[in-house]
Amino acid sequence: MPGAAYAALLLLCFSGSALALDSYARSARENGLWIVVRGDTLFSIARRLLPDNRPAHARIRAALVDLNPDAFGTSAGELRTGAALRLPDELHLERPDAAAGQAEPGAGAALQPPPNAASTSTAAQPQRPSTDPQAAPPQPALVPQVAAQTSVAEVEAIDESSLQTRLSGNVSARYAHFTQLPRFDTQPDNNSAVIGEVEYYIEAESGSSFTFRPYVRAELQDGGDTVFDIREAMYLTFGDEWELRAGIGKVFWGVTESVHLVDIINQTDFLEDVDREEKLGQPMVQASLLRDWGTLEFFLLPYFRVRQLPDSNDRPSFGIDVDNDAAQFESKDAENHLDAALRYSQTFDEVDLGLSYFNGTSRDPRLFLNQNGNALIPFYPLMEQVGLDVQYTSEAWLWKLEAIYRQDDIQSYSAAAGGFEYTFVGIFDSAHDLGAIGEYLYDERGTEATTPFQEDILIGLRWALNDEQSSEALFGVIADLGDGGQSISLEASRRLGDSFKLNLDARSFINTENDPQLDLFSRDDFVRVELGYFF
Amino acid sequence: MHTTLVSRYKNRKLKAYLMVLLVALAPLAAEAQSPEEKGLAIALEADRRDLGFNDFEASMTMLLKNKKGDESLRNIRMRTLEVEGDGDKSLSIFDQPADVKGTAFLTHSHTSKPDDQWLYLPALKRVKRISSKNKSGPFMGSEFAYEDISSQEVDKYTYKYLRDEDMDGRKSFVVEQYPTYKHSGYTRRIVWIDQERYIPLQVEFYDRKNAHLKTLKMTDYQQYLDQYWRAGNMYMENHQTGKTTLLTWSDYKFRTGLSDADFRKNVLQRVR
Repeated sequence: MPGAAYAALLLLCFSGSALALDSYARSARENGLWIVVRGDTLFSIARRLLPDNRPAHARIRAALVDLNPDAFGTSAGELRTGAALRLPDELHLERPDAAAGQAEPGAGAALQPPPNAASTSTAAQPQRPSTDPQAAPPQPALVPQVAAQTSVAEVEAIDESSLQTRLSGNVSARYAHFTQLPRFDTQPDNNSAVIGEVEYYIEAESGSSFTFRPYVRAELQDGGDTVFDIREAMYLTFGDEWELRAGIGKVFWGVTESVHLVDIINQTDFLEDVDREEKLGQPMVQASLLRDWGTLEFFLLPYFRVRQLPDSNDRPSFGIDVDNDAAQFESKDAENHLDAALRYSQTFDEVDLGLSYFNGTSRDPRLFLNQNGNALIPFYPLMEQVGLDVQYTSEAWLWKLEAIYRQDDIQSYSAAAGGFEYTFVGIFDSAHDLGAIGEYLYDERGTEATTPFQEDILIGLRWALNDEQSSEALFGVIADLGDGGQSISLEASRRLGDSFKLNLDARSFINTENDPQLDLFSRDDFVRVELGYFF
Repeated sequence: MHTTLVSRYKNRKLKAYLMVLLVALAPLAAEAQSPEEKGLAIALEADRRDLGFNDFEASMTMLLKNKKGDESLRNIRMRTLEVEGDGDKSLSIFDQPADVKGTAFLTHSHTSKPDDQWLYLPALKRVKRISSKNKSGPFMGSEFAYEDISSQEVDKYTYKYLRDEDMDGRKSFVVEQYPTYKHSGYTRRIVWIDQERYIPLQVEFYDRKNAHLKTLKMTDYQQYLDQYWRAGNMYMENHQTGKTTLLTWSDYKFRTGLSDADFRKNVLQRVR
């Protein structure tokens, strides 16, 4: 599979290759003049001058209007046939013979108009300056030379101003208080941390961009770590029907609220939060094909991120240290195994569908006791996973389903989560919305599962005040239908002023006696306050 | 009340032509035209005059003020594509407040079925298909409801011409409009439409209990491409809460070359 994905990726790169400049457009750019023939519009001219830089077209059109006030009829859209448009200097192309000093033998032939161009513009042909270099009038030939001297400085100036940059980010402080005594003496009564995240974004005129987003979390309690991660360092370039990304990034797949079964590309930042929504940056090359029949995305993932599992002095904890550095891999290439993934997605009216395939190192480790019996060692098997995510949206109803089938050398199993979200709009004659969420979770492995969700239900309420502060709250209970274990959570947030945001989270685990997975957390009920500053 | 905003539809060509004919013949047939027919004819003519813009981009700033005078600011960039035979497509990118920076909102509106809407949450990198039922809710906590700023189309209302009246020194038609959408937050709107340019100058909104809820004043109109009028300022006042929102449009660019490819779901993940 990695081979096939790679081949497809290569193919895609070639299909996105630059369109050739047609011969008239080339000579016009060399001469700095475009003669308007019948049928020419600002749109068609911009397209032909820059066939593979569509994002620049609007600017070119505006420049053409500015430079040629006399070339227009009554409105900006109406060009006078026969008008000689001056082209913006940035389009200037060196004449190949001028650059080489001597015309190459084939150069004249290459400058002939293509047959189709000739046939469609026969009527207007006499108005065009000849594209035969021998017949080129001497006077326009001077223009490019003068222009050539000034254009260097101007091109630099344009480059300077055409790079768009944006800086944004947030700094937040959080404090979590645990409401019960810890299970192990080594665990703290509270967790607190300062978290900073900055995003630097730079975009070229072509629309290509680079995003850099470092992240740091300093845990302030005794024995707390300082974690640094590059959440994103991604180059992106695209055309109408393709996108190519390379670097470090994050990808989300899925629709359900209770669990994210299908979402597989990124490793979970387990220490950030037990809700598993925070992710580590993943090195990747992603190529996407965007067509009417759907979107096809290929991923090559050349490096694996180990999940940082809690030590005995973290909270929650396994009560025993985890030796993350001793992690073992089924693949002989360890972290360097090349993982690959493929996803097809499409919208069919009210239905949004995604089908995905992953082949590589499992993001979920199995834990084994080491020889001395004093630490756990994570083992990361190779696996394949097929995933389905689908949502049906009908007025106030969202119907959701995620399902996976996963296979590795140890076992194979399927799991699914599905349900609904229904929103009551404008409750009690107010602007408030109230959403009711119900989901059913299933895991074929039953009590052997590596997650606490074997046969569970989620019941949730989402309350949005729709006020200036975007106040909202989400309350949820996940209950195990087999053993009765429950995880209860509340997440609320509100903006303060224009730049601050206050979050309040609380979580409680009850009736966990018969649920060994959830029982690990049974004493780790917490209330957490977080204040963030955004810029 | 079309130009309110952002967009418009146009698959009712035949009907439109008939009505234009009707309007042209209006002086002859004035006595024969009922207030409902005249209201509809005005709406169709306003619609016709705004056809063919193809696409545009613009920035909007919303200044929210409550009764105490506390202010907060929203900055949003918006792109709209006219769609032949269906509702328009639009993409909004949020720049301010800072905690929602990078959030993007894509709408494929439809004439004959509910709109398709997706929301992009940048922190999670998640594209969420959302319910489009909530038309009456506030947009970004402002005094504008989603239905006030979304695609306006002739079929979304029934009409009744009330009278001629001057508004801001301009001869206007006063037309009452009744939403056909059953979940609308309004029983009716009264719109003052400039007789010369066929653009709305003022709108009064009446809530579900038929009490006067809000008034919208549209000023600083500018014409683009010699045809399309767009208001520079829209000032909405809520008479029941005393809150106001001043929505200011800037950087209008028409026919920038946007196409369907710029309004795909995937685009949400790359716009900034």
